[in-house]
Amino acid sequence: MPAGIPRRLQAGLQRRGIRALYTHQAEAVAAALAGEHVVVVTPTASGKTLCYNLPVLSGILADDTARALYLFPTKALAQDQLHELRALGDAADMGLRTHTYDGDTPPAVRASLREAGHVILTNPDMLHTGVLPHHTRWVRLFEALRYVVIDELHTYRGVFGSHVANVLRRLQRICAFYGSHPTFIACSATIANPAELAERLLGLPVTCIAGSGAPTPPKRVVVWNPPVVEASLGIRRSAALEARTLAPALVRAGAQTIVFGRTRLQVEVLLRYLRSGLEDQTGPGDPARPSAVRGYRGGYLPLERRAIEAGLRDGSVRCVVATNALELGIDIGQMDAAVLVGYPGTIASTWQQLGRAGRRDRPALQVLIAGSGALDQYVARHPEFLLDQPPEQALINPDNLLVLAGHLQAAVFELPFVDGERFGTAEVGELLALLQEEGLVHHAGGRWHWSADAFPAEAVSLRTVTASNVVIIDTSTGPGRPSGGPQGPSAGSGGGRAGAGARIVGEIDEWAAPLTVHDDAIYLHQGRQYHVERLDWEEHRAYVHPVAVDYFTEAELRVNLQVLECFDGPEPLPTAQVLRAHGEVRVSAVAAMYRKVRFLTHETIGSGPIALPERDLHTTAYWCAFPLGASAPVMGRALEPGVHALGHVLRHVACLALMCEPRDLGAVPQVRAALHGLPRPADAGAAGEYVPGARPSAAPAGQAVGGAPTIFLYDAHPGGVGLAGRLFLLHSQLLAAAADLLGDCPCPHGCPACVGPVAGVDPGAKDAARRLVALATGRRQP
Amino acid sequence: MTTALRQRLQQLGGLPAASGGVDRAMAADAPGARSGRGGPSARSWAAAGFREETPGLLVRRVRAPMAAGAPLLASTLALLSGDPRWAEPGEGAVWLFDVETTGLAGGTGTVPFLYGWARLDGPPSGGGWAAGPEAGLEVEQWLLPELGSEEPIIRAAVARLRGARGIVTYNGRTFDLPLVRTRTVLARVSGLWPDPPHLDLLHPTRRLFRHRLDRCTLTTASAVLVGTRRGADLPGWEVPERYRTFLRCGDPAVLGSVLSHNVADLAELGGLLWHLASHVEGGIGEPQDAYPLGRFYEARGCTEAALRSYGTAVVLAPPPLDRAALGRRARLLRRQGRLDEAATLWELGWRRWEDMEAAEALAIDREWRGRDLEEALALSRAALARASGPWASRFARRVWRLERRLSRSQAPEAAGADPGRPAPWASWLPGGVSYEAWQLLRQRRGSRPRAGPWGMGTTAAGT
Repeated sequence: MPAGIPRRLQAGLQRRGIRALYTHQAEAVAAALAGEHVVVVTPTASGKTLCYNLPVLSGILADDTARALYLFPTKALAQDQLHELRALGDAADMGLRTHTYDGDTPPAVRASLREAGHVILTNPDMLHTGVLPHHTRWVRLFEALRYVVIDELHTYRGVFGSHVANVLRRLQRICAFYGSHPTFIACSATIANPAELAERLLGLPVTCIAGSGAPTPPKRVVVWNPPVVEASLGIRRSAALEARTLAPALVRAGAQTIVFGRTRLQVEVLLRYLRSGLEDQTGPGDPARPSAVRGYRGGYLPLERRAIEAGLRDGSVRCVVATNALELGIDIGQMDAAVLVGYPGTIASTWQQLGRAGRRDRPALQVLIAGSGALDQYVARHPEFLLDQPPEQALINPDNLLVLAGHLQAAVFELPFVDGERFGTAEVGELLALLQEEGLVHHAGGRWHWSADAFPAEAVSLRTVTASNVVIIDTSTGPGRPSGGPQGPSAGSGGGRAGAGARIVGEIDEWAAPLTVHDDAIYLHQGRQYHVERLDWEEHRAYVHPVAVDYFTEAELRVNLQVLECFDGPEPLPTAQVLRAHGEVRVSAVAAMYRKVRFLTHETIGSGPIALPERDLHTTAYWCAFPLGASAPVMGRALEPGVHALGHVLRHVACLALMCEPRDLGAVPQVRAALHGLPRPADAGAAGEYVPGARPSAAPAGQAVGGAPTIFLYDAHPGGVGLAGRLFLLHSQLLAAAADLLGDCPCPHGCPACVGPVAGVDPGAKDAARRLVALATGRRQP
Repeated sequence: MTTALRQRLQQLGGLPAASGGVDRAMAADAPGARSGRGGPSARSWAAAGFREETPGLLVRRVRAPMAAGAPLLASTLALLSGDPRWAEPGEGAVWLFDVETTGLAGGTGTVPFLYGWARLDGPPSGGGWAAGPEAGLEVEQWLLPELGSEEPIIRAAVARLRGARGIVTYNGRTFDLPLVRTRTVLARVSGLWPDPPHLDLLHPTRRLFRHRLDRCTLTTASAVLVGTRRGADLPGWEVPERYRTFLRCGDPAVLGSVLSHNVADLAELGGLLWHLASHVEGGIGEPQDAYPLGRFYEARGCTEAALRSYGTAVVLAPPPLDRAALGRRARLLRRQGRLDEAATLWELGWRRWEDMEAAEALAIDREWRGRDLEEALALSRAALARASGPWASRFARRVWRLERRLSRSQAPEAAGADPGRPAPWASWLPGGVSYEAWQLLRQRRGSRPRAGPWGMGTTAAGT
């Protein structure tokens, strides 16, 4: 028990059955009490809550005016922790005044919380629009803010993390205005760079406390690769079907089991599989009856969720099928077995989800069932990747211009900027001058004041709306035809909403929709063919009906990428025939036409246009280019398929390395990218924009006319969140991992697990990609 | 210097593509563009009518025409605001107060830049408050010469609020005063926040006259109720833009229309104050105003005045206010124990509108106060014949109970069945009503009673 914890709190701990702290808890508490900013990195269920509750409550016991602010990524987590905190406060009998502050807080509670609340539990979004812009109402809090707790730190990455970093910059400005300098305590799941992430988020040096002192039960990790069912195409049995065999067996054996699916749809499907699997063999009184299997995902009502959580804790729910909604620290107790259907996308998530299984006194089983995609297959063939590799980096870019500009406005609104003042680490003088030109701020007396009639925080949403899905509706099963069918009362109602009888076949994300459910596409779903009558792009609905034809459709996405500015590079690497660079690019994508391809023979039997709007994205990208002089002779005619195949491989390998979803990163392979990434002629202008399509004659001697094969990987968020810069640094590791993936895949000519979709892949692609990588890494081909 | 940055932000979608720094051009073109530092000269301030009365505080004094009535009584202000502190003896002037701001969003980034005050003097020995000695309103305006030099104006405002006998605003409770309070926190002006009695006219205006106003803004209320007319006035939403123009060019002359807008607001505020005061002091403007006035009095606990207003409304107000007023008046009388008067009203309500609530209250009155069971039963039967929805089952139950009570009191031995035992069909008739009542309901709906579970004969014979 570290010194500095008041006796009353120690007594409260003992009343709750805690006599001593684990080493990591003691270290964290001591550091926080000493005023150091702390980040605690622990696996699930290691008692991280005490790491922050103890210093906070000690501070309040010592000084009743002291205040603390807790930030959780979701409202549900704040609720969960409120109970925990209250229980400890009651045990210590200290008259703790605390409540959650979010959209659900009643007005009367809000007022007293502002005046007298010791600990405020809220989320970054509420802090952003509800607290900071009205900070004068929170004088009591900000004048005496002693601790700021940031739980689930690892969730603040990417765009969301970049926003939150700016919200924290604003918080710190306001604290400084009121003369308080809070100590930050952050808790994170295991990621590769917790201290770096915390320091970027806070802009402050932090002490990192890693390694749990809590006892770990013995556990067995199984990586399960389903058997190959179609060798030539490299197709394996579906992971969901494997889970259907495995999970009911576990439940029948008496093991409380958590099954993680990747999507909400998959969770529902798995739930049905599992229940039907248990139905035949159990009676009503059996603990493993179908009703003891529950689903859990976003979209369930809060009360329903609480009931499931309680059922898991008391053991009446024997199995839960969940999305990553149960990955965060919601208290459900520990399970006996965890089954992951498909690789969750990151090592950190994998361990968070697997970590749900493991009781102190019993061995646990943790199973990862691999899917047939490239990521999954890489993990299945390289279990050491999971076991030995440090988990991923969490990246943020608080200085993303778009994010920064939004929060800078909110910050000026809250408090004027003094000339020369930095916003976190960002130099903002020029941006403020721009805002003045826009009539938003006004410079007077050495300060920048907000002067517009607007509330800038409301214009910024911390969580960029996840691309909404297109719903696929089968019109053959009922009303809901796109335009005034026989039963439809009007075209409007038919197009706007699926009729009662219409069946929703599935969903598809906004980026894939133009390729798979455009007008007249053949959409494949669980082996059935559907003809797309109409894609209603405005309403995000696709209307289909089942058909039986002997072809499928393949759409071509025309992606155009233009380099606007080169930040670093192009830089030739000493040992290899490749150049790396990163910079700012414009990506425009349009699905322009589709082909009808006959099954088995793969001959093109027709084609048609697709009329959908083009999308433009300004972002950052990393690219590597193969100078033609070196690659062309090696490759010959296989160059084009090789570049495409390698683009596919690199994209997936990059997702593995960056802890991002495949949709966060786009790949554009170009066979003749005109001089992109090649050394620029000295006279092309110093800092000016790099003009793509520059004269071939300006190319340095030795370069072939017409450019070089180049693979671009771009950040799929406007402005980028720092993925490209990181890829630039990881360049060599990326190529090495790509070489491994290609080398290890046993398929002869390429399969979904390595170079991408089977259809249309040139038989020479895999080999060509391998040769390109060999060029790039300087390694010999095996 | 900002061109490249602007371009990048536009490409990312963070700025509208059309935006090209319009403000920069405007600022340069505006007359008397601010050259270097220093701000407007004393001469240009004087031209706009401002003097620096104390360091950093620019004041402009002007008279505004306003037709005031008799001096305002402290009790009237207490009644209008619902704050009894108005009626307590105290020192100081009452101020009409209205600010102009850089925006309507609220929060920490919205700055009040023009503080308009109009003084009401008094109370002269036992009288009430009145506008200045001459006709019209003495208006005082404080202008913030530059963002960031707020301290003098905030200190002065806090001092004035602290010394005030009370303040009168329109929507000041949620807008003007919280904004000023926010500025004191931001300027780190310490000390307790003064809390003088505050009459926010928005609330009584809304309660008394919502039925006549399509929008409850000061200008609408004043135009409809007092009959004021604003000439070529600056629309309120243009005020922030005018101040921004002033900040850029530094010429106080561009604020002319803002200053007169604020004066007009204060004059309307004063006019509305006198109108509301005379309204609640007893004048009933139009027939439809009587009912909300009665409700206002009732909420403030002025029972006699409320009864009077409701009484007027019963006679004069257009439907459905007359009927609503009757119900309110009768309920109020009943609470007062004036049951005769209440019963008279219920009777009127029943006869004129066949009001169900009135019929029920009257039946209760006849049964328990008048001890006249037969009339109570007759009334309930009549009401049941006209009732629908929940009222029907309420009256059906009442009829059944009264019938049993009557039969017991008239001939206890003649009653066939044991009256204490629930009728056999009580369990399946809606709400346990009597068979007669149920039949009555059926007949009224034009359908024959359905056979009960035991057939018609047995049940009919039972009674």
